[in-house]
Amino acid sequence: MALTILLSCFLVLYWLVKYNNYHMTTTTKSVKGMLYKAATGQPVAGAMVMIAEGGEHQDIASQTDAQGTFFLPEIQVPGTYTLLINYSDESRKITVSISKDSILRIPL
Amino acid sequence: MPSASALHYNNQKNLVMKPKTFSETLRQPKNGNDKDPMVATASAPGMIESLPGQSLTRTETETETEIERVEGFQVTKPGEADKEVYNRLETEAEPEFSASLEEAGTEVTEEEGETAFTRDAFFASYPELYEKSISEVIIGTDDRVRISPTTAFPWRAVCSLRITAQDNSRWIGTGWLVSPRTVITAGHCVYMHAQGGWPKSIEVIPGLNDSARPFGSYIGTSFRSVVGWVNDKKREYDYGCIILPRDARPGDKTGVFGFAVKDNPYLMSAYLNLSGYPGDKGGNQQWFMARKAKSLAPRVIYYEIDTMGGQSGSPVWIKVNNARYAVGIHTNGLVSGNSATRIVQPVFNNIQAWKNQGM
Repeated sequence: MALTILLSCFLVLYWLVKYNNYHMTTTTKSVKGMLYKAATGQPVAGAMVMIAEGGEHQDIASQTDAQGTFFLPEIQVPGTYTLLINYSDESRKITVSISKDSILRIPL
Repeated sequence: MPSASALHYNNQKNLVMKPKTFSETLRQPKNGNDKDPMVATASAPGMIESLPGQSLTRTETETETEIERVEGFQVTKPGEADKEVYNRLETEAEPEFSASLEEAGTEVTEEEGETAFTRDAFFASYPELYEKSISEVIIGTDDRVRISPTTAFPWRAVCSLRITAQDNSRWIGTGWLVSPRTVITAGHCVYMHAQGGWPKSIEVIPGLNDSARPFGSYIGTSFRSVVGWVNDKKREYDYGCIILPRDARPGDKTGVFGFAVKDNPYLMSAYLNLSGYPGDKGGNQQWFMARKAKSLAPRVIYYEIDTMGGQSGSPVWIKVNNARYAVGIHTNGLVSGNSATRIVQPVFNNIQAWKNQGM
């Protein structure tokens, strides 16, 4: 009897959580980052930064400003993503683990 | 924050959140973002669209219920998700909604000699050859092909977007012309929730090809999207447009895309063409690919067409003889399947209204 009750409670809880009766919002946020030259520490401007692999993401690409700053579009965090950076006709991939409070600093 | 559909459901029966029956849960994916999208039964295009989870059999309640007033909390009522939202008006034209499912594009008469090989034209007639040709031409797993030159239709009606967000961050995307001054794109290109909302400006460059701007470039500051995106940030409502200034009419020279509502069987059997400006190629080159759809949801089309960042807003179109009809607006990337906001009746109506505003 107790086992039946426990199992029933588990099933009810499973349905509630999985099918959003009790809404469990997935945390998404835009993530800030900075590109800099590994040798000099100078910011890299005009580079394209985009997500190549990871969770579902908006297919928009960010361009670094004069301070090398870029943003990733709203993504699920925490998560692991592979970024593709295109700069001066060269492309580079880098895998990063992003937490809720991450600010990426990426050397080129 | 609970979704609008969940709240609506909750309000049906004395505000008690009852667990659904097992069969009901099988029919209700999560907010349209389920990892295994279903091929839903196509709704009749003339009907008001309904999302999965909004039961078609729900009964009217005898008493009206109220939603608790909470500061900062907004609820989108059913049917309002496709309501237009804009930052400013550039025209006084009244929106005209039609009951049609297709809006033809226009192709400006070609100058003598079509220099660009329009790949979709040939393969639309001989689709069985497309896969074979791609495997012979492209080395590796990237199946995209470069479009150059971009001066032929429909490539010249595809626009590179240079977005300056409200926080001054810069982004690249893609859009496509449906009228002389209207550029359709992803909602997240014209309303960026994490970057201050409406952008400061978007530069529109039709047919950009490396450093060449064969049709010039134009700055847009008038944007449109819908409540379901701006207020609720729902993936199924990720669409919008740019209305260019009155003296900026690139569509007169480039021609414009048509757009259409197509049912599930049609979309599952049709070849979908997608072209845009990916950032991994520098953002200055137009790249194209075509495939059949992988799966469908009521408001999303999933496919294995290769895309990269910068292609948000790209048209997903079908080619019927010499006519092109967009059936989706590319928005998302995912290894298991990229996706587009599907053009269903409410989306069609809004695009048509925006088209009229840009005439």
